Amino acid sequence: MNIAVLSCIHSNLEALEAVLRDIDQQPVDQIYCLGDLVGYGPYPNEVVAHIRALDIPTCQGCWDEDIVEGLNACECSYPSLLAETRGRLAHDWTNREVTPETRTYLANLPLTLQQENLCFVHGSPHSQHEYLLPDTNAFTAMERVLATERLHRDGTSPHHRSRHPLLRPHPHPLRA
Amino acid sequence: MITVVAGPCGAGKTTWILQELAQASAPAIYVTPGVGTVPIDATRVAARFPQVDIFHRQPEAELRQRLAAGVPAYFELGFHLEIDLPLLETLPHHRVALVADDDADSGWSLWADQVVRGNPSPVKRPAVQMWQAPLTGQVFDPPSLDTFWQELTQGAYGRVQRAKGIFELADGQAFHFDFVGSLPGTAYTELPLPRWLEGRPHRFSGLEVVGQGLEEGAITATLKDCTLSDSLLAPHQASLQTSDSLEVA
Repeated sequence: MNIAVLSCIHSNLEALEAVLRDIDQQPVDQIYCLGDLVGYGPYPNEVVAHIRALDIPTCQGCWDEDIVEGLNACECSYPSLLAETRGRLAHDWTNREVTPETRTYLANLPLTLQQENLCFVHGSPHSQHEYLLPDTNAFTAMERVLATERLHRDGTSPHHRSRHPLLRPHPHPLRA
Repeated sequence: MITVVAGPCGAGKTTWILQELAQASAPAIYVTPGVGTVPIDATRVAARFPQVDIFHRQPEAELRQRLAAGVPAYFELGFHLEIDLPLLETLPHHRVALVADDDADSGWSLWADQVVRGNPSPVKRPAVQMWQAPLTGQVFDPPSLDTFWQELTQGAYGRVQRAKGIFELADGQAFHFDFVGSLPGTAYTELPLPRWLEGRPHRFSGLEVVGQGLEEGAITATLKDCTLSDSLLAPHQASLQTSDSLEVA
């Protein structure tokens, strides 16, 4: 079975359409979306409508939750001061733009999706705000896996990715 | 011996002078006129060779006095300046032009006594805009600065053909950034200066951008969003000082 996994569309309708066109050219049996439909980009309602129209199974991302519950719900670990400033601006704008229908849809998204031995989450099985990075302690990673009762052997998460390369290894001054 | 170095934007004039200074054992003078309040090249030379006398804003009489003493001197002329300085009319000097092979028939070559192969220049005069910003006292969050620099050099604020800067980072280090549009990537060089861990640095830092259609307001605003406030800087420096003292102990 061939599975296409989308994530972090962030209101970028043009990019979503481009990816879906590409998927159409592939022998894909099922599409999953790992959330963060909104935030940053200019088309939050349109992206949600498109995902809903195609009935793509989607779990909730951290940005989706933020729009539902307010910024205080987010413990986002912004990679930089600049990203934090821009993130807050984007949150405020998106929060004003989303329709009640979009907000309700985002609020009701599941935190995990399962198919056979696969589990799809946005961050980790523990939280959509948590990053599982290559340097995450193995014990912690295992605990996250075991914490999800229905989780099987594999998991897929967009926050399981490499850090953005910095000028040099350097702690975020806010979190040093 | 006076050596006057000229060439197009991004040709590698300062780098060539640094190479010459590295081979010399005697005291020397570095002169870079017309840089105003953003002496990026002069700061780079001074950091690498503290024994070199730097002239960029001092009175001409003082410079003449030093030249009369016969100290070897390097004049670096920015691409935007006239290449015939009145000061040099009566002083014997050696003219060096850095030009790429495809610029070999340019005016630089006709002017020069010696032509050195330089980088291809990304700038085609005259439709070019130069924007400078002194940043002394500003301390940058490294990942924010990294994002800004990628955006800047990839065209988010206008078409940038040349950008160079000296930035103070949160850990007290000062870095020189060097982007030439005709070359791949950016060269990042840590300046050999003491780490500044007490308050805002009292030494020069700044940015110079050459390009077209530069959105100066957006550049300024983004730079500001990349810097540490006093309330962030003070505890961060305190934690660095503590960790440094623990390492020494």
